[in-house]
Amino acid sequence: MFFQADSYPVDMDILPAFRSTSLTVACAPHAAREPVSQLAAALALRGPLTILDGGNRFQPYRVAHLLRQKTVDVNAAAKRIFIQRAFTCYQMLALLENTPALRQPYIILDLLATFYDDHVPAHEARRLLELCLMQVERLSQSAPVLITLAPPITPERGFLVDTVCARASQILLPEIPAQAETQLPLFTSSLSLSTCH
Amino acid sequence: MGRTLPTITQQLSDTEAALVRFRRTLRKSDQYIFDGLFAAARCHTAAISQMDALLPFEAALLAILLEQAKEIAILRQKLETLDGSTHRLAD
Amino acid sequence: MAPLTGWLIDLYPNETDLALWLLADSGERLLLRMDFPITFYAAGDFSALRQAWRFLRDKGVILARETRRDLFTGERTVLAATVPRPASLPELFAELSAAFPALDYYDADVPLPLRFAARTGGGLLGRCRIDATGNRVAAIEALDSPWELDPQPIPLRVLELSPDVDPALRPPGRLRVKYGRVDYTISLEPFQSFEIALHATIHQFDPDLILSDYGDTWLLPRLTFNPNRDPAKDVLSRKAESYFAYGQVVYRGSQVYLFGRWHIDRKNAMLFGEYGLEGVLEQARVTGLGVQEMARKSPGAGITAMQMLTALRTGVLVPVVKQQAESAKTLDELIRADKGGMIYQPLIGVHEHVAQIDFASMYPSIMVNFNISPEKKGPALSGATIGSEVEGLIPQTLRPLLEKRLALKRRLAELDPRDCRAKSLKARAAALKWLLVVCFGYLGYKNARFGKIESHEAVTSISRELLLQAKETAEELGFTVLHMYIDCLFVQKPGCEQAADFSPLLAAIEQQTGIPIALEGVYRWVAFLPSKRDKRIPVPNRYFGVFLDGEIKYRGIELRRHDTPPFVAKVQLAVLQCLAGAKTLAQVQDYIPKAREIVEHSNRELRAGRVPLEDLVITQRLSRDVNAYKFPSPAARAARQWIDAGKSVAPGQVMRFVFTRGKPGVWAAGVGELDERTVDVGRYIRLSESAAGTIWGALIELIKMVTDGFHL
Repeated sequence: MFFQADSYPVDMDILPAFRSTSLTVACAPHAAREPVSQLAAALALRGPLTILDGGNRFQPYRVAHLLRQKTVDVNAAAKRIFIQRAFTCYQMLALLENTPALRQPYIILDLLATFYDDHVPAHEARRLLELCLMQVERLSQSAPVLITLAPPITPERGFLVDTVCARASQILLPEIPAQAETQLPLFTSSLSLSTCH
Repeated sequence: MGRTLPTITQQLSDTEAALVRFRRTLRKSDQYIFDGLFAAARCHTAAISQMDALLPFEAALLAILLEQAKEIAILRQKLETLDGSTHRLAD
Repeated sequence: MAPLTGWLIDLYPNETDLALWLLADSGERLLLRMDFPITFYAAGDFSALRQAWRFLRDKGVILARETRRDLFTGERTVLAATVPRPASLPELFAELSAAFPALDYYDADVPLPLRFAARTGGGLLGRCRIDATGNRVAAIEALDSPWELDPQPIPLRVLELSPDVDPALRPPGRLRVKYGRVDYTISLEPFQSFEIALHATIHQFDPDLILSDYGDTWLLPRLTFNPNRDPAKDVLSRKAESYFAYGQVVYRGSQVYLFGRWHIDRKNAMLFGEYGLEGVLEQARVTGLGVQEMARKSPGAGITAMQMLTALRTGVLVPVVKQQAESAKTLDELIRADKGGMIYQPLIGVHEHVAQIDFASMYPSIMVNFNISPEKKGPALSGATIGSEVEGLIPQTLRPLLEKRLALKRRLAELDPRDCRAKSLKARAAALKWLLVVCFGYLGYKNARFGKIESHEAVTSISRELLLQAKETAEELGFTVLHMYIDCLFVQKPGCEQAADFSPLLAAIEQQTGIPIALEGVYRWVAFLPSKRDKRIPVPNRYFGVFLDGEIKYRGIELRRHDTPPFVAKVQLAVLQCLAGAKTLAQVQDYIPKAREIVEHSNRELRAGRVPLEDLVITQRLSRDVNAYKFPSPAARAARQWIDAGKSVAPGQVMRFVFTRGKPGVWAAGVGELDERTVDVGRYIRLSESAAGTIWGALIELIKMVTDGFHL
C-alpha cells in the first residue's frame, strides 16, 4: 500500500541502538512517533512487546500498514503488540507499577506528556516522575526499554526532560539531514545516535 | 479523553493525501473520476469501521466496488427500460 | 422550641461549625448552626501511615483505624481522620498531602453539601424539619427527596439587576432593578450615590437570589459594601482563568459567590439560556451541589457530585486522584474497541415523508440496562441484561435521573402545550437531559474518579450494535434507512406519511433493543447536504427539513454555528422559514423568488445602515495565545486591539468584533466607538448570500438530482 503523507524516510532505524543497551531515550517532535511505529512493527515480527502510551501518540493503522509490508500474517503480529494508555501522570505511574518485568521490549511513548499538564504542580510532577523512573529501572533490568519524549510545552517543565535523560544509557536526538535530496521539514528528519554516556 | 484510533473518514483522507502525487499526474478528467472512488468509499465509512480491520483500505476498496456494482445495476435497469420502450415504439 | 420546617437554601462552614440557612415556612430566613465534624481517609505504606498518624495527632485530629471499600481494589485498611471544624479541612489536607504525597487519600475533597446530604438524608433546596435549641441544630430530618416530581415550590425572593448595555461594548449608564412588579433604574453616576441606593434596595427586598447580568464580571466586583445576607462572611471571588479541557482552551470569567443568599450572573452561567432558573434549581437539587455552584459549573461537575453522593451513601471511598489505568490491549483489540458511536452516512438528497426516530438518553440507558460501571468486568455485549448482579455505582447514580426525566417527559406529553406548567416541566427535563448527556463522556474522562476507559468503550460498542439492530428491524418492515447518527435514525417508506404510520416500527425497535425510543417527528421533506468540496461526498448530521406541523429543524449549517453573526443567521432562518411554506417538494420552486426577495431586502437594510450593531457582531473563541498565531484570525486581530487598548486577553476567551473595511479588518467590541461607516457591508452581504445559498442552492440542486438521477 501507500506511505502516509507525513511519513519519515524508511531507512532510519532505532532498532540497532535500541537492542544494544538497556534504557534508550529519544527526544523528538511528536515524541518520535513515526520511528516508534517502525520499531514496533520490526519488533512485533520477532516477538511480543509492550507499548505504554502517555501522549496518545500510538498509530494503530500505521503500525498495521508497516507490518503488512513485512509479513502476510498481520493478524499474528498485531497480537504481539500490547498497548496501554495513560491520560494522567497518576495513571502513567499506575501503569508502570502494574507492568510485570518480562523478557520483552518496552516502549514508553511520550512519557512526559501528562507531566507537562499545568494542573499538576511542578513538585508533584517531579515526585511522580521519580517514582516512574524507579519502575522504568526495574523493567530495564530484564529487557530493553525505549522512552520517547516530546519537547515541553513551556520551558519551566524542561527539568523533567533533563531528569529522564540523566537516567539514559543513550540518548537519540533528531538529526537534521545535510544532503540536498532529503531537505524536508524538521519533523521528517531521522533519529540518530547523537550522544552517549 | 482523546481517541487514539483515527476515524475511517480521517484514515481515508490520509490515504488520499498519500496518493497526492498519483492523483496529480492524472488528467484532470480522470482526477474527477478518481475523487469519485474516494467519494464512494466515504458513503460506507460505517461499514468499513464495523469491519475492525487492521488495514481498513481493503474494506474501502470493497466499498468502492460496491458503489460501482450499484451503478452498473442502475444503468442496466435504465437500459432495460429504454429497450422496452424502443420495442414498444417498434411495435 | 417547636421544630422548624422549611427549605434549606444555603450551607457553608464558618469559624467553628456549619452555617445553615433555612427559608422557614413562617417566611423568616434563619441562620442556624450545627456541629459538623468531617472524616477523611488515608491508605498506603504502613510506615508512612504511622508517621501521618503522629502528624495528625499533634494537630488535634481524632484518629482511628478502619476498614473501608475502594471501588476498584476492594476492602482496604485505612487511617480515618476526623476534624471537628469543617473549615479547617482544606488547609490541613494540603499540609498532610504535601508531607505524605505517596499515600492514597479518600473523601478529602468532597463538597460540603454532599457530605451533608449523605449524612442527613436531606440536602440543599430540600424541605426539612429541624429541632433547634436557640440557633443550634439538635436534629434534622429530610421531608422530601430530590426525585419528587412535584416538589413544593420554594417561595424565593428574586431581585434582578441588569445594566442598560453590555459593559464590554460601552460603559453602562443605569442599572435596572426588578423585584416582582417593582421595576426601576438607578443611575451609576455618581458611583457613591449609586452604591447607597443599591445597598438600600438589597436591604429593603432582602432577596434570596440576586439574578444579574454581568454581576460576576462587572457589577459585584465593583461594590464596596457587603451584599451578603450573612454579614460575618465576605463575598467569595474566584478569578478568571484559562484552562485546557475537552481538547480546547476554555476561558472562565471571574465569579462572585454570596453567603446566605445566592448570586447568579445570567451572562456567566453555563447553559442558563438553555433551561433558565427552573433548570438550574432542578440541577442543583438533584446533584446536591447548590445553586451558585451548579449555575456556574458544567453538567459534568454535577454528574461527578452525584457519583460522589452515591459512593458516600453506599460506603464506597471517594479517591482524591484517579489512578485506574487502561488494561493492556493488543493492536487488533485496540482497533476493535477505540471507536465512537455509529455514524451511518446519509443518502444525499431531498427526501419526502421521513421520520426521525431518537433513542431517548441512549448512552445512560445502556449504562443502566447493561449495568456498565467501571468496577464491573467485561460487560455483556450480547444483549443480555445482567439481572442478578449487584447494580454498579454508575447505574445506581443514573437510574433515578433517567426515570425522573422520563416521568417529566411523559407528563409533558399529556399536557396541553399552552398549559402554564409546560414551560417549567420542559426546563426541568432539559436540565436533567444535560446531566445525562455528559455522564457518558465522564465515564471516559481522564480525571473522572469513577471512570474507566473500558466502560466508555463498552457503551459505544453496545450503542453501535443497537443501531444496527434498529436498522435491520426497520428494513425487515420495509423501511429505507436514510441516515443514522449516534442515537437517531431517519427512515422512509412509501405510504408512511403520518406519525401513526411509524408506530409499529417504533414498537418493534423498542422491543428489539430494550431502549426507549421516541418519534422526533415526521418531515414533509428533509435535505441531507453533500460536502462543499465534492457534491458526491455525504456529510453526517448536516441537514435541514420541515416537520408536518411546519416546524423546521436544522443541523450543521451556518445557523448552528456560534461564530455566525446574527444578521447572517437571521437571513438564513428567514429563507428556511419561507421555503418551509412549501407543503411538497414540487412547490419549493414557487417559494424561491420570495426567498430571494428576503435576502435582497435585508441587503438593502444593511446598506442603508438600518441593521443594529449587535446583529453584526461576530463571536469567536481565541483558540490560543495572541502571539502564537502565524496568520492572525479575525478574533486574534480583535484581541490585538484589546491589548493595545490596555485590556488583558487570555486564551479561550471569547472575542466579539465587527468586520470593517481596510486594516486591520475588524473592530473589537469595547475598544472605543465604532465608526459605522467603516462596516464591511460587502463582506456581510457575501456571508448572508452564501448562507441563503446553502438552503436554496442545495434544494434546487438536490431536487434536480432526484429527477435526473445521481451518478458517481
